[in-house]
Amino acid sequence: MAANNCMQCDVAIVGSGFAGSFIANELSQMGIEVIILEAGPGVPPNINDYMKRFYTTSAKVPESAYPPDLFGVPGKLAAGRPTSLMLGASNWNDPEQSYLVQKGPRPFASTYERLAGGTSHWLGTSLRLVPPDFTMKSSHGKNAADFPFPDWPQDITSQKMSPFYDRAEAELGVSADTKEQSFLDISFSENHAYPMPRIPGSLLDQRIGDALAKLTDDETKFLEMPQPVTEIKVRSLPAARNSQPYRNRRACAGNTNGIPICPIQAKYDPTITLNEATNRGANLIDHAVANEIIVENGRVSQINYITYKEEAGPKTGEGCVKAKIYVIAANAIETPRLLLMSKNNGRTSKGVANSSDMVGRHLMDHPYYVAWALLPPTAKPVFPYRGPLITSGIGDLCDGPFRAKRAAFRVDIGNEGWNFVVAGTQFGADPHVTTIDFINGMNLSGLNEQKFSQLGKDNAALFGADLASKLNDLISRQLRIGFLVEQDPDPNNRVKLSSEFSDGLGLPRPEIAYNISDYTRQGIVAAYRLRKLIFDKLGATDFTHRPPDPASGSPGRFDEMIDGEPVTLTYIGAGHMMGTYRMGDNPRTSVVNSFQRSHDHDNLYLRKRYVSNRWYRQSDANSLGAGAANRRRHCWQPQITRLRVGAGRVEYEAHRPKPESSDRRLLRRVACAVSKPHFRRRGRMPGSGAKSHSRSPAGAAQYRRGQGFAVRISPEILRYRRRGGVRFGAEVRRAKCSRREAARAGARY
Amino acid sequence: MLQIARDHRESAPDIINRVNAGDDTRFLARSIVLLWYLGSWYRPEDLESTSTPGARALILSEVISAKAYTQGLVWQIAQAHPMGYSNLQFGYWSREPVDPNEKSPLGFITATLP
Repeated sequence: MAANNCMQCDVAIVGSGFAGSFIANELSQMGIEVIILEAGPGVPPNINDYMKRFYTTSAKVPESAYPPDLFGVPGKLAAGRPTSLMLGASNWNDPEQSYLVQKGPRPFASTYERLAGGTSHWLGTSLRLVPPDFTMKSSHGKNAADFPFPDWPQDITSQKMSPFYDRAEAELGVSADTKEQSFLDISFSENHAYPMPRIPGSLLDQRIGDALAKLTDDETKFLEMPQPVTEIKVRSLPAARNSQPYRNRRACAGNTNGIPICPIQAKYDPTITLNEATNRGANLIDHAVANEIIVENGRVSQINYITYKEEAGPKTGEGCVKAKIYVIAANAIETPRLLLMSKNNGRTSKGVANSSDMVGRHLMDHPYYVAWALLPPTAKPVFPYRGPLITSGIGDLCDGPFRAKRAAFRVDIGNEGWNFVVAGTQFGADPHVTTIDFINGMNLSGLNEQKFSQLGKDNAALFGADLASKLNDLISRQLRIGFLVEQDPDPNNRVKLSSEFSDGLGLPRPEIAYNISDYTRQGIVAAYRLRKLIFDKLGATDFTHRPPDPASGSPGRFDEMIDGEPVTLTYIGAGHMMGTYRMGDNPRTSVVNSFQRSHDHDNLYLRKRYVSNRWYRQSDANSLGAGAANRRRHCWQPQITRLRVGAGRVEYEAHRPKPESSDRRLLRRVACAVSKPHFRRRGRMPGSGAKSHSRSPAGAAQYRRGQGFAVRISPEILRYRRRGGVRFGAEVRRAKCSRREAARAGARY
Repeated sequence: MLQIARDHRESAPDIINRVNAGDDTRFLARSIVLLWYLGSWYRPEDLESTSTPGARALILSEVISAKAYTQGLVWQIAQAHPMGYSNLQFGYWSREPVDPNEKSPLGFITATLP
């Protein structure tokens, strides 16, 4: 498409998930013009269709609530996606059935969505990283030459991230207790408080907490913690799930359905921030698949995209966007895919931003080892399927000297019984599997044996009251735990473009090479041992490793020798796609710098939920939020650099070649345009007589809501920005206004 | 099936015995009970082909409707609620599901049996 027909804006963003929505919203608040390209459908007026999809599908997998068709053919869908149904033993490496072209040797077992709001099928878990996560090499691998983890760039530390976490947690609406979360030296700012009180624990959480309250050093020495472990604490999990009404969304009602979808939006999902951004003027273009990033003279000059209407295509047109800054926020698989597709007629034959050859490498996940068990008939039932899917976990074992040798893990305690683990997931989900067993005389769950069912025979088939009371008895004693295991970055775990297989728009599909290292496998072995300890303390019978081997149909299975015995272990995906554009200071070994800006192109940023240097320990879109907040501070580097709206003041630094007095005055006004705290988003400023959000030269002012302050941007500044912004050079100006000064400055308008 | 139910309306065990007496009625009855419990239709012939002891297979099914799913009896029997459809209040999950002012759902269901 001819360049002069392109849409114009200040910042073009590819992807409207967590990263894209946060950035769009932050920038729109500042009056910056944003266009977002989204490959999938836009935000629906309500979630009724998604709920109906979920209720009526027989396969209630994490992708089941969202389009496109769960059984669509990957080679024909315009914006396809990996799904849990593509991870069976027989189809995971069959590109006719799997969207990802998996080359193995092991499956990459996580999935994602392509629609406005991105992967909304997350649980809401919003943990902070522990300090050594940022300094893995110097904390745990100083003496090991081939230690797989580097340190983060030095300007990103746990402490420096803390205020950005605060802001991200405010946006997401995180429920947690600061004191309870202050373990392993996790950094909080002074007087920190989460936006809402913590989510109370389930009956199972309480039971496991009691069971692990008294342990001996002997029982726990396999954990290799620095101090003897005589108690393992079960803590409430910080979650972006309302424990009180928050920002016009109601409190959680325990629908046990955060994955795939919370029916009352008590769980945060990025459409919330995305809607705010579009209300503020950001332009979301859906059904727009970005297919090439154009580079001219070392800078990105344009992004081309393809449009379509129906899920299965065909292409209906194309378009392009021109901006000053470009952000690719399309996840760890689709982002490298776009970079690698952008060959610019051979000028960037290795792909855009890829002079280091690191684009697509170091693909990671949190291999997820799950274990399930049955409490004894003498125990009080724990009543699963009540409350959020997960309310508590064990995080205290995430760091220790063992990280020199094996992967760390965090433990999840499930409130959904055997829902997605029963029989190794290959025969459907619970409560269906257990129910069918006792109606049709089968034994997929392993429960239909005399010793567990207390019935007269194995494979019993029941009707009537016997059936009801047997199912009540068994289901209410089912439990499961899960271990999210750290994965080390391996350059051979890699996203490439498939040369054989394409999608419905003719674009090459992602080809994945993936394995898990001995370091990660040893983490799963430690998880296997902790599983045994927890189940023993509960008096529960393990069903994970009972014959017939429930893992037999899992493509993620592998064998390990544990205490001289061969054991078959398996992993599934955690949905935490990480890596593929490594962050670092050295342009030869990394793709982006610590601001997630491309080393090769100074107006290109690559963002996602998980920053790519290494791994983000937990499912924290939270850190992404922190990163997005961080970016807000820096994204204007070529123009106004380092603009920060903080407690009562605005700080900025600007580089300008030819300072003119009018420019200086203008910038001073931006800096001081902070009025008294007030939260009104639309309406009239007292006394101004002008409608807010007016962009006409006559319109007096625009209000932008900041951290409790309405930031007011004068039409003069808007005009200035529209002229092409300020061109800045070397000179640095600083302005700091106290709240009082700002109010005074505001009063002058 | 209807005839069996009518002939033995006084006794649930008799109905069960008669239904279990023939393959035709046994597997159809299982399909119907699965429908009540799960809101999904499992074809009787699929149930028959997988009912041999030791058989391990995924039986395909179809959700009848959104309401059929949310009204499935299994959720009440588990003293819980359908996943994605809770009428309960924040925090209920940290307490036992027993409400002294109500008959337990389990009691309710078994009490409706003939």
